[in-house]
Amino acid sequence: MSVSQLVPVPEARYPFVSGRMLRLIAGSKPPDSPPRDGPRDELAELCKSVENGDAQALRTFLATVVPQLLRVARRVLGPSHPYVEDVAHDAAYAVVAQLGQFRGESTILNFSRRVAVQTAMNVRRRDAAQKRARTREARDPDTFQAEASNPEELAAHGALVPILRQLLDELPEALAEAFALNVILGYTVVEIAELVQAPVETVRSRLRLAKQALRNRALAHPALRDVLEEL
Amino acid sequence: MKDDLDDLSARARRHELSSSDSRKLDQLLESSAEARLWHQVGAEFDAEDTVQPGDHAASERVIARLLRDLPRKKPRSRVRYVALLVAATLLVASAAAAGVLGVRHFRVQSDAPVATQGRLSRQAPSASPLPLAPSPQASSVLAPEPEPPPAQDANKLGRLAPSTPRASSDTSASGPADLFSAAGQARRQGYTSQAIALLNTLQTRFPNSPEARTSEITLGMMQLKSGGAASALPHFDHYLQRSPHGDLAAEATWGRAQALFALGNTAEARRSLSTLLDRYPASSYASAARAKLRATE
Repeated sequence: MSVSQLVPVPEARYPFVSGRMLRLIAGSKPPDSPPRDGPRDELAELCKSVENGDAQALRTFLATVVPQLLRVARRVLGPSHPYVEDVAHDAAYAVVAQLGQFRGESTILNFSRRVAVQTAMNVRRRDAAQKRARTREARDPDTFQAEASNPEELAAHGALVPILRQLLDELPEALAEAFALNVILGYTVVEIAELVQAPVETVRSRLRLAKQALRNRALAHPALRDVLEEL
Repeated sequence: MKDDLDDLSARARRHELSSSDSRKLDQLLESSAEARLWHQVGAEFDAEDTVQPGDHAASERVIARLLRDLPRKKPRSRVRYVALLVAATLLVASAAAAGVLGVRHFRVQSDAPVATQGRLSRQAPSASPLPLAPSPQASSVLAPEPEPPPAQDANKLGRLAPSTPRASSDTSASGPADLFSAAGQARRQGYTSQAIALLNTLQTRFPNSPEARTSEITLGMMQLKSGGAASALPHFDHYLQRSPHGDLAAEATWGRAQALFALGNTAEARRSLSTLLDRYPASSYASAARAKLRATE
């Protein structure tokens, strides 16, 4: 019996973990499918021990994964976001709860980081109105033009990063995820394709659309329009 | 070529680029402001991802919560497995003995053995699979995680801002890639005239090189930024004549329109923007072109 059969879906208890995310984790591929060719997953054996109820293995697994999930949460939410630890907790909980149905298309660590990206984006979406107000207050777009004269300078000063995080909330999930994995976390297109189980060209297309959409949304800010048009 | 940026930029941020890939990325970054923007934004996210005081404590807090919240599972021990195996063996033996006795003392129904087999086969799945002892590989993850590299300034990542400019005086032994790279460094450090001189040298000495073609866009954009729209326009035109469907044709068309607007030739500039929208409707310049067309109606 797998852990997933023992553990109830934690959606009610951990609101940041969506049902869609758990379906992605569980997937449709049978768990006994043959392993892929490729580099060996260092955490695979450890996860089997976790599955078998080894408490020490669970502690080791969490000690390995949780710091990574905290960093992912911080990248997506921002370093001072109050829910960084909650996101890492909920993402790790979801990963452990569904280990029995992990399909093995990527490494467990990359898979866990993806779960953390989705958990963090759920937080951003649910908290969007409050977060947007806070971000506007902290970084008034009207002041950007005075701070820097062109987009490269804006980027160099880190002013675009909070705006991009904010605009990310408004993108469709698939586009936002592709953008977050590539630009925020630094995954290549092939790695993203493997992780999200989509063709490489689809991922490229999502990235193009995400950047285009972010650009269009940025152009809606009157103060940013002039500088972004200079691109 | 634009698509390559997504991969090259990601790999540059992980310091995984070969020298040829580095040159390719340099060309992309030199030729496209948007490419520079996304690369720098990525570097900015990397710069934020530093180990902070309290990170270890935060991890420990999260782990403690998880250990408390995750449902406890009873470990499947080897002793328990052996006990189940013995029980199953005894069951098989007793079933076989019952079958033999049944043949001797009672009238045996023809389907009795089948029934026995069926009962056993139903019981078989109740035996737990052999539990796995913690593997030697598991201990490898117990080793402390290597410290991430120290936080770097966004400008220091991805070859965006070298520390020292190259001298422009001795370019006789340089190839097109060297000249292009040196010009890029000079431009980024604010030595615009030096950068222009290097790119002009590149175009004179290696007119058919890919770097020379790319440098048309760089030169045009630099001239445009410094107010030299009249000097910029021929560069964009030249690129479009030589590579009408080149990787940077959208940039060239956009630059051409910008130069024409600056020169007051609004009608021709609008035609350029319309061409841009017709040929490259999905380019990142499309939305800006539409906005500009609306603004100049």
